[in-house]
Amino acid sequence: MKLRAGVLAAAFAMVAPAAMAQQGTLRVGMAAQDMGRLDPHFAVSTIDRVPMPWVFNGLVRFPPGSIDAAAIEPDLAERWETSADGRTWTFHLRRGVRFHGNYGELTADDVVFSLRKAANAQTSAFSADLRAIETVEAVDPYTVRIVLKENVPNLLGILTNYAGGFIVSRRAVEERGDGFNRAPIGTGPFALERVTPNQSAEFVANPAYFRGAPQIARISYRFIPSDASRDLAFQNRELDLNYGRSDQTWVNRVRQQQGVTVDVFEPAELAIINVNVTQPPFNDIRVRQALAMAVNRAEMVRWRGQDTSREGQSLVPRGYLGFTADNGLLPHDLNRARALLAEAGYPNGLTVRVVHTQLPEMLAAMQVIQQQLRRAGITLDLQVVEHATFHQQIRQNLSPLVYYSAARFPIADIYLTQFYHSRSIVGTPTAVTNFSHCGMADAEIDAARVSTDRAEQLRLWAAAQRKLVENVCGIPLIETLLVFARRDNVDYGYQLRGSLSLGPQITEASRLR
Amino acid sequence: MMTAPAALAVEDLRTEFRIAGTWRSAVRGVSFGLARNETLALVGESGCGKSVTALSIMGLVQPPLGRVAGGRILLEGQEVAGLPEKQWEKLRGDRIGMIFQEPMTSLNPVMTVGDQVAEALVIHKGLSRAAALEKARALFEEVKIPSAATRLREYPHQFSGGMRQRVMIAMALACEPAVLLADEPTTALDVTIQAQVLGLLADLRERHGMAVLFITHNLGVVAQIADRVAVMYAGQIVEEGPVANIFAAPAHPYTRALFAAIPRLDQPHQALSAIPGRVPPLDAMPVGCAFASRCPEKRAGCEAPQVLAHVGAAHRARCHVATGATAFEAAGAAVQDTR
Amino acid sequence: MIWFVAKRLLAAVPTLLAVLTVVFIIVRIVPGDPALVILGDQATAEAAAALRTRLGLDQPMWVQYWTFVSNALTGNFGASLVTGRPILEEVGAVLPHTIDLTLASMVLGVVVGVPVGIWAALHRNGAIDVAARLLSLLGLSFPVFVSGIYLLLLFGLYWRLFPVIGNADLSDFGDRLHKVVLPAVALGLTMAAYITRVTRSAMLHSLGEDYIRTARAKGVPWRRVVWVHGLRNASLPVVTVVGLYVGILIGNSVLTEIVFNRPGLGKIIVGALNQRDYAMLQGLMVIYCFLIVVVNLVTDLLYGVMDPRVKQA
Repeated sequence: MKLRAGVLAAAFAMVAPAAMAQQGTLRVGMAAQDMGRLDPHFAVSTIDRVPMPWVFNGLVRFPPGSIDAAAIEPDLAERWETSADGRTWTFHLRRGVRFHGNYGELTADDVVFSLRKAANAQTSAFSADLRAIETVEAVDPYTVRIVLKENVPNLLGILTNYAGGFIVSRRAVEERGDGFNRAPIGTGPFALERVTPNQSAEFVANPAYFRGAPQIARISYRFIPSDASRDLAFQNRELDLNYGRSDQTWVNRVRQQQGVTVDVFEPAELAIINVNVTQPPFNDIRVRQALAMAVNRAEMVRWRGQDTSREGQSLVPRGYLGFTADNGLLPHDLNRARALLAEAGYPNGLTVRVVHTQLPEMLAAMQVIQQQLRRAGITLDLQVVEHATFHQQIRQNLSPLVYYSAARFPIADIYLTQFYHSRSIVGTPTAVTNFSHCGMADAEIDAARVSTDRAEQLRLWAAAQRKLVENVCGIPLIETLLVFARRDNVDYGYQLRGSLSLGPQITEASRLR
Repeated sequence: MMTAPAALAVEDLRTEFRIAGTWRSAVRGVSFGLARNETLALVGESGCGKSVTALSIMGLVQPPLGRVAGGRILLEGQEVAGLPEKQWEKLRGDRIGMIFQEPMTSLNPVMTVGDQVAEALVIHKGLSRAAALEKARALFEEVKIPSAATRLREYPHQFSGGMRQRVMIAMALACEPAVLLADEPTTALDVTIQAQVLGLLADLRERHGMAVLFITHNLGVVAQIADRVAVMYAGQIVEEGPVANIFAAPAHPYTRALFAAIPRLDQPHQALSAIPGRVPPLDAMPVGCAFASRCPEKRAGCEAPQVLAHVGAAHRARCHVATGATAFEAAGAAVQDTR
Repeated sequence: MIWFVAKRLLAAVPTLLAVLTVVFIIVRIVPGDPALVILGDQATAEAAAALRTRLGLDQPMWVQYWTFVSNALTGNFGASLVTGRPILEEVGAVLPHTIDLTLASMVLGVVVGVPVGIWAALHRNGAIDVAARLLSLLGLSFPVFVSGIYLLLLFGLYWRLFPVIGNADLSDFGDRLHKVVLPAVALGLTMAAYITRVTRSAMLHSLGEDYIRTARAKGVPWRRVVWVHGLRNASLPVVTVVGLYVGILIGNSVLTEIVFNRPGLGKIIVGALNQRDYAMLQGLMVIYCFLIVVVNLVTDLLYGVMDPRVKQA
């Protein structure tokens, strides 16, 4: 009897930790048909971004559940130093971090390789983010030195577990070549097991994860493009996490279900109508101002939902470093809008042809705006085209008004540069997404980027926003937050307030109850 | 005639079709008898009710399209009119067979001819497929289809028209029926083939002692094959009698008109006379003689109902001009005649 | 027979080339840029141009065309522009699902459609016929994204007989069968509706033929007349229609695949189109075309077996 108990106890002792450490499969439903490229430096779509922090780490990271740039903390780097001029940064790596599979220990070599890869337009979609980096070198196997060409607002931000900051295994990339896109190797809590095209990506816990073995054994990341059937599957307990819609009725409906929590989190996507200031009739500031006053943001928020959206206040989303609401944004005023139109020579209103996408969510928003503008006498003649066509045509200046909704790294610089710096004007070789052709804030944006004085930097960004808003380069509409529903058996292990990967991070502390 | 029952006796057959919701008679009181080893030719223009008469005898006029509304059909003395379908199926193809006009379309294109002939044997005689095929081979030889054994496995489209009609005959004869209905079996064939098929039919009748009801619109064919002739017009028999009598002295103006329409080789300059006018439609059938509107000898009395009355021994006609009988006078005689 | 198949496959080559050319041109005429899809909207125009160069999209059309055709003819369809996965691998992964769904829907469509069609034909203008015609009209006009959701609600959520997520484990036959049921019902009933109509009219036509009268004159029992003589002839147009429909099923089941969360060819085609994945689209079209050719060939062979009048030499 005693012997038996002893054997049992021994057996438990062996089995229990493993059993407790690894329980169950987390099933995540995602609104997409398939993943694209799994190389983190090419992960641009939401579906590709969400699982990246499960698999990869950066030198530093946002604490899980947060997108607060001030809270950035060590990840693969234990600590770092910066030179007096802010141009030279030295990172000391954590020791004993191992890549998935048999790809060995992470060394400075991998970090150097990763950052150079991320900075190269041939091997990364995020090369522009790392433009300021002059050199990256390994000082020794556990030390990396980065030298900057010019100051940047937040180098740590670039090196977080986001976009170009993800660290990959050099050996894996070199061995696998293009195959790395399908079989990536990182250091994160989960390793990619396989992708079944059109079905799912399967991840398994990385027991050697440097923060400890994850408590969740597997993640099944399911691609379910139909909202209706994804919701049914979630309701039917075939999913633990469900990509939600930023739509009040959806949120309300799902909240009514038993044992379900809806998380609404940052970053918000700011929707802006970008106005091409070089094309008539919008080359007349009065017409642009009329447009700005015809828009009713409060009504849009009521339409989209109080829980999932809020009014846009500037041409930079709120909460981003450098954001200011004090920028002279024109209030909703139909009478003044009509008066301005009449003054500009359109007493009977005007009609504009606008190219727009057929994506249902974006189309519905545009139709609300169409109604609002009509009250001021502005008629939008919507040319509804397929989404990829939309993206191409707005980059060919085929639409004087461009509805664009985006979230970016939460620093004013990125948003301002991509949307309102003359370098980014569409149709030029350096084009990104400047549809307004505005360049009047170039000086402020450029100066702020390299400023080492935070107060001065904030002042410059505020000035840039004021200029752009006053010139009505764009009209901020609403900010839409991200929504995920989870069954109550899912415990993220942190409070989900924000996630730059646009979906919940699953960490070593996340568990299934 | 109190001897053995006739192979087939039809009495006062009335067959109707539903046209625009109303039942209309296509066959109006047809009566005839058919003895073993006898051929009766049923003659008339298309649409006169010959084929409907044959189909009625086969029990193939069925609701909702048509119905046998009155009269009796005696097959070897057994009343068959009004039998349930199950019992009809037992008789058809076994005691009574039928050959159709169109050999091109009357055979199932996706079954081998052997199987089509064997089918009746399997159903009625309970033979195995192999035994039935063997019997079919013998039948093929009997109807003079060359290389019978190989041809059994072929499909209808591989046969010529004449050969197909031989297949049809083999099929109809498979179970040695007492009565064979041949509905214009040679009409679609070349003249030389026609003669061969007619000869074959005559031979077979002789050998098997069948009663044959031979339906045709071609009086030329009638002379070759029939013992007796019944001429139909608008659903009625208008004249009947032995072939010789009718050919020698056609009594009814319609019969005479039919003869006038036959091209004759012995008269070089002849005026082929088509019959003017047309058969009255079913929904506008006159009370009196149905032929009156087309008849060159039309006179007073034609508007009254006509009866079949004797013009000679076993030779009767339905025309008061030819027989001098009115409906009223002949009523009694007509009743006797049909018995 | 082998000659016939070989000749038919050979004859399909020009068709294939024509389709390839048309697809090649069409995907390039449609506006949209795969580089933008791959790099995302933060990429600079320079980066997009660099990527287009790397993908060979900046080459003259005829060079791209020649590369594509010569590769395709040697069986090399390349890799997806977006995922980088080899196209054959991608298609191979979903093809079994597509075939499962196609076959299951076809079987269901035929098993339901043919008897109902026959029944309707035999009771022409009767209550059953009218009911069958109404139901088939309903079946034809009900889109899968409506009927599918109802099926899921009823059988998935309410009765819990089938899962909502329908991607099956290919190595588990039972699982494949289990998960193909609902989508096959959704797709198969539409097909059944169609087959019902075709069968009904083919049967009516066939039952009006002279050989049916011949069979009845032979004393063949009515049931056998219908099922042997009538159906064998009526099945010829039905087989043609089924063959055509299977071709449609293979590519057009995209809605069913999306609603029931199944992988499949249709879904890949739509995805490739949305992402302007030229390589994928081209490869898929070749494969799709090939499948259609095979289906047509099988239909023709079947036709030859069923109709002795069709010569195959």
